Amino acid sequence: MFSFFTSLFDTSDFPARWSCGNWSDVHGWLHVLSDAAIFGAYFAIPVVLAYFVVRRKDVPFLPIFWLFAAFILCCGIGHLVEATIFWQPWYRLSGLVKVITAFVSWATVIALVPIVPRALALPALATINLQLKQEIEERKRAEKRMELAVHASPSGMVMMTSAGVIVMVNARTEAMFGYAPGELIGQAIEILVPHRFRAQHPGLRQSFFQNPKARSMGVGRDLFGLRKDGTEFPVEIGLNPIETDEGLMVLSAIVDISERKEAERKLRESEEGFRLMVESVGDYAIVRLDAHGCVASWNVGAQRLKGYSADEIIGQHISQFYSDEDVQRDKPANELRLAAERGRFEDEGWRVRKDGSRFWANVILTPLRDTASVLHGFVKVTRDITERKNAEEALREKEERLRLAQQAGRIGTFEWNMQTGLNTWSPELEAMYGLPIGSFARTQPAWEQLVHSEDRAAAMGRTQRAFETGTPTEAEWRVIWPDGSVHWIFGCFQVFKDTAGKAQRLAGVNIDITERKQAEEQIRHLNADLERRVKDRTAELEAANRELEAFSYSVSHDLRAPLRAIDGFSSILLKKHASELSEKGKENLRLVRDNTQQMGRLVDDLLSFSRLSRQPVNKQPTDMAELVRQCLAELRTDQEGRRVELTVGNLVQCAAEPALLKQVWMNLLSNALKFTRKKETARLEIGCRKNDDGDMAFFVRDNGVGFDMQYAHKLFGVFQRLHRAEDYEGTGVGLAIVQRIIHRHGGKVWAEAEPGKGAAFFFTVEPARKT
Amino acid sequence: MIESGVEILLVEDNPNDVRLALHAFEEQKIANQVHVVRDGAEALEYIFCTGAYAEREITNGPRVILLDLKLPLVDGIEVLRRVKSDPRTQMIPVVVMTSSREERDIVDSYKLGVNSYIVKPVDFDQFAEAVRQLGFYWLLLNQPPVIGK
Repeated sequence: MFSFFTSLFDTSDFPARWSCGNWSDVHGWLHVLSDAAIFGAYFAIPVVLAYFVVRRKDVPFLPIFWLFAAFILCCGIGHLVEATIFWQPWYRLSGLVKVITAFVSWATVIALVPIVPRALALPALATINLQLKQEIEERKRAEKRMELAVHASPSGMVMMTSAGVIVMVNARTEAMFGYAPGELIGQAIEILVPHRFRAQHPGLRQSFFQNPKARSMGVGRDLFGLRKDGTEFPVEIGLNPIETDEGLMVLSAIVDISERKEAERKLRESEEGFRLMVESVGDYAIVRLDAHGCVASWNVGAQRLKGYSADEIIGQHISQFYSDEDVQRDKPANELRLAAERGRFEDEGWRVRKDGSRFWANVILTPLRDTASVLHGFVKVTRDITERKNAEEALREKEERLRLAQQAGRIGTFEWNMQTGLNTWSPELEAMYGLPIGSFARTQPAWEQLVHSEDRAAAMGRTQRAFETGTPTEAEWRVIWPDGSVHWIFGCFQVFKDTAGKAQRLAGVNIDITERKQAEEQIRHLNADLERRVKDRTAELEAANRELEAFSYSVSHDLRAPLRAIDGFSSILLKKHASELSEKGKENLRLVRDNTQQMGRLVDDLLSFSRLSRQPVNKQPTDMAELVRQCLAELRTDQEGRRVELTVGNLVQCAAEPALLKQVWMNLLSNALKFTRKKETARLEIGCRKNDDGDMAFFVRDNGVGFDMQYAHKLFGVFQRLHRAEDYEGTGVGLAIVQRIIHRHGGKVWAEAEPGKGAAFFFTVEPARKT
Repeated sequence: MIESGVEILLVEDNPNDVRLALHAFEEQKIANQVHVVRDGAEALEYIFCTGAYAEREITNGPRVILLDLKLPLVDGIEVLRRVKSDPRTQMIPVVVMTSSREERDIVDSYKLGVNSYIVKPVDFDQFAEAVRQLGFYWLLLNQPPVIGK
């Protein structure tokens, strides 16, 4: 090996170049210096290439570069050897260098050929530059967009390193957490975490970086942010790992969900309130059903209305509330189907309670659908309107009866509604006005036109009065039928006002009173006729009365005067001329005087009797006991020297003319005393009792001579006497007076008697009541 | 006592009654002081001093007038009205003595101011007693006011 190298540098076989040939200095040095210069360059180029390749790691075709460098260096060394050969003729070394160069150059050629197509595909550098520039600009724009997006984001954006250092925040974050712009950069992310979570946060952060993928933070937990002022607020955070030149980072999107939470809370409260409200409604059964019609919720009203408790009924199908026949007819399912189809279903009908009893229900079914319109249940609101139903039924029956009554009674009804202006008439009323059914124009002025023009103002005045008073008002008017006949109408109507006092409607009835009016007219005629006849008759009677009065006046005056003269002169005869008369003559004169005086009494009694028919009877409360007491006092002389037992019972008051009644008592009592005169002990019973007619009958009973009842009918006649004058004096007028007084009071007088056992006289003062 | 001595004016148309009355007055010893007129017109002439009695002084009136009601010419009620409506005569006591028991006559008389109303009884004894009491009362007991002053 050594010998090889030694042989390379063995110069013994060849002359130095300077010595070979005829070199001028210039020519020789031209070769030497040029070869040296080429070597210099050929040495420098590989060095530069090597440097370039080493520094630019991305240089393509790297082995080619190294081959080029080696080839150029080989060439350079070749030139260096050529230059030295002028002095050292080591042609063997030169040959070796050339062999190596040849190898290297061919190696390069061989290496080059296959990469030529690839090298041809490489773009030109300018194009690359242009692309590069475009890419850069695009990148800048993207960055700008990114920045804008980040800053404009409604969410807070925070970027931090895996060490938890904040490297970027947007303005939203700063505002959200209450920091000044830029204040958060470089801070630990934990500054934004409430103190109670801070200890565990770095651990959580590290676990994220161990498994970095985009996800929400703290799933299932409520997250809170901490403001600079120490307050907390609920947040939602999304985490996104981002690979950067500076390593893996996290971009967090933070949303302040305070408002959402508040809204959710309010919604929850509202829903709770609504639920409580529904549950506590007592008058309505408000029930939620699932999509199949099974009960899902049950309120107080439902329990009250249907009798089931929530525990009993939840989960049961609504068929429970229907009668068996309804269920057989598939009514519950049909109602649910109709509600689902139409969005609402309303029904009235019988429903069944837990205890089997029925009630008339108003039911409203409303389907519940989610936002995707999928049916997920129903709300069923039920009301018990049995009472209303019954009331409506009763009202209907009542109206039916009223209608029948109106038909039967030929009563027409109307109602004038001030709101609509319509005046609605019943068919009977139209008939009453001679109008074909349904032809009335249905307004108030239309009615006014139908009223007889002479009665119109008055009828409208009554209507006005009904408005003013608000009370039932009556009126009468005439109407002229289309056929010209005149009919009388009686109307009774009333204005009904609302609570504000505003008139709402005028309603009332009309009755055809034509027949009554005609009858009244007839009666008026008859009355007028009767009155005229009564007047005539009264005039006649008055004339007769006047004559009678004149007659009795004369009787009173002229009949008594001769009697007085007879008595007077007889008396003078008896006194002045007694000595000239025989005893017989004196006796006869005394009889003349007795008869004259009896005649005088007769005249007096007759006059009082006739006066009775003229004297008015003014009935007033009369104390009968007092009258009897007065009479007995005045009759005291009749009782002197006798044994008289008086029994006076309780005498009721009555309505009578006291002066006349006193005459009655006076006559009856004096009679009783007179006709008991011959009894050792006279017993008089005075009293009153209720007789068969229910009237109070006063009576005077005695134990005197009595009389035979077969002559009772003669008792009360004028001048009728049942006893001889020698036995019992009297004119026979007393009982006639009694009877006349009693008759003038409208009463009755009668007697019961038995000869030798006494008599009883009864009378009533007031007319017998018709029963 | 008044000079003429007429104490009682009896106005009575029935001669029987006049005679009976005078008989009764006689029994009382006052018949000479009685002047009788037979109808209402004469009564008025006497009382008011006219006609046949024109020479009489009205101030010299009777102490009492006994007046029947049913009289010819002028009835007793009218005489009573005239006497009681004239200031010169209204102080003279008037006693109606009549057969009439008519309520109307009684009421009318009292309304006109009659001093007494007597129904003449048929029984003469009672009549005489009434006259006696009349004379006793009106002539002896009653104290009249002084007339004409």
